[in-house]
Amino acid sequence: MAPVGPRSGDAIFASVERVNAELFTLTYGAIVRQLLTDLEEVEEVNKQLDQMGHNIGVRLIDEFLAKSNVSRCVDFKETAEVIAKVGFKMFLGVSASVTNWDAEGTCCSIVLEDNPLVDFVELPDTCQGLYYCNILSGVIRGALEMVSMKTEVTWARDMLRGDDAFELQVKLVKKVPEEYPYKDDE
Amino acid sequence: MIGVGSGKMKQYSNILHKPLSKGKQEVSLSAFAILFSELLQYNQTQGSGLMLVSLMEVISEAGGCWLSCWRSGSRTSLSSGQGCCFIFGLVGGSVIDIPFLLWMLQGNRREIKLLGILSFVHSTVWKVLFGKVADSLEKGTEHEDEYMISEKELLVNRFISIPKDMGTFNCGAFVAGIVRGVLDSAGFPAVVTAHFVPMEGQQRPRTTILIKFAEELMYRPYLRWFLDYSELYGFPYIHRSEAAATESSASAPREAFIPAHHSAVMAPHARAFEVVAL
Repeated sequence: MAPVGPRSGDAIFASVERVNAELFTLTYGAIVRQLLTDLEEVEEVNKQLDQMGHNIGVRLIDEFLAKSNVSRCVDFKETAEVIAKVGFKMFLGVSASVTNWDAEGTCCSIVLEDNPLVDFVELPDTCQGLYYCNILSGVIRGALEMVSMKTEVTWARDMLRGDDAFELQVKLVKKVPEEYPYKDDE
Repeated sequence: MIGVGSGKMKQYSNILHKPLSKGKQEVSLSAFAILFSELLQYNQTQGSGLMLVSLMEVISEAGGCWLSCWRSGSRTSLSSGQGCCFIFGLVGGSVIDIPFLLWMLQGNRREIKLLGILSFVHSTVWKVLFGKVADSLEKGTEHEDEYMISEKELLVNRFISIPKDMGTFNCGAFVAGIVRGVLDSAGFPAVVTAHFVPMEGQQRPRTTILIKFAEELMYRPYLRWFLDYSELYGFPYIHRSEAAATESSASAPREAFIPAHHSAVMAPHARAFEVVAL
């Protein structure tokens, strides 16, 4: 029987199938490497990673909703908490915390305590402009877009660039109202 | 504790100072599957539109470069004693040339025999990557330089359905690339490809990773014999250290001249491949 009510990130992570994190890390590394070879410009790579993340987020949200039993969040604050506590835990096995709320409650920071994407990675001088984990910001943007929230996600701190943590800044731009009725003929 | 979140990350001025092992870490399978599909889609839709064959090559290449970043050294993990395999080392133009030693799990020995390295791939590497030993390791009876590792349900093929018009495309090419990377790094150059093999009574075909070793490897056992003799008769042009590099223990028994698996090949077999390990 399906449990009622939202499940904790840990519980979901323990129940889903998992793979070795190094397989994941190095596969991601292979992607970034290929992008750098193909696109040459670091800026283009950032864009492409964000786009890929967006595609992932759009698909990931389905699985997230199916497995987490999370009900509709009342405000953006709750949304951010759910992303940090349930979302990151459930897919990457890491926990994150939400800080730095602005006065309106539309902008916050998600600070990652650990990041499996960056193991074995060091940015060489030629790639200093690269946001290596830009795929994550794309994922959050894509996922939130699917639940009617238009957001801007940027990196505030990046350990690969010498900062002391990974910090994603999530800014709610606007809530897109759901459109009824859906057109049947499409 | 499951998962990675075992505390705050520390910052290291140099990546080499970073400890490698953080224990067994895992991410969810769906995260990997979706990331992998993104890799496929990128390659499929990319500008010029790659031909299928080259798409497979590119994916296999991705698998290979994956492994060029991998140095094995610690007992439990993919990461290495040297630890320094940056994915970016190669991109940044500064190729980090660390002589690669594939430390074998048993006593950190470097594997020099074909079968040894194959069973290392079949059991150890597979176990680290996919959490299980591969379903089978077989060797070709017609061509002695061909081996195959088969898997009923390869992880990368699990959520993939191949459209009809893509014919024999197989995502196992990614794993083939990884295998090629391992073999290459261990000093066993080989051509590695992935194929679907239909199974009787099974709905889905199994995936076979076909390994064809470079020709010179077939002569390696003889080379050792030659080196042993050159030592006896004092051929001046072969340096002793070269001989030592070919064979870890100088006093190896002479029957190594005809390796055990050669005699196995000579026996007639009805099947094209015989099982080496299961």
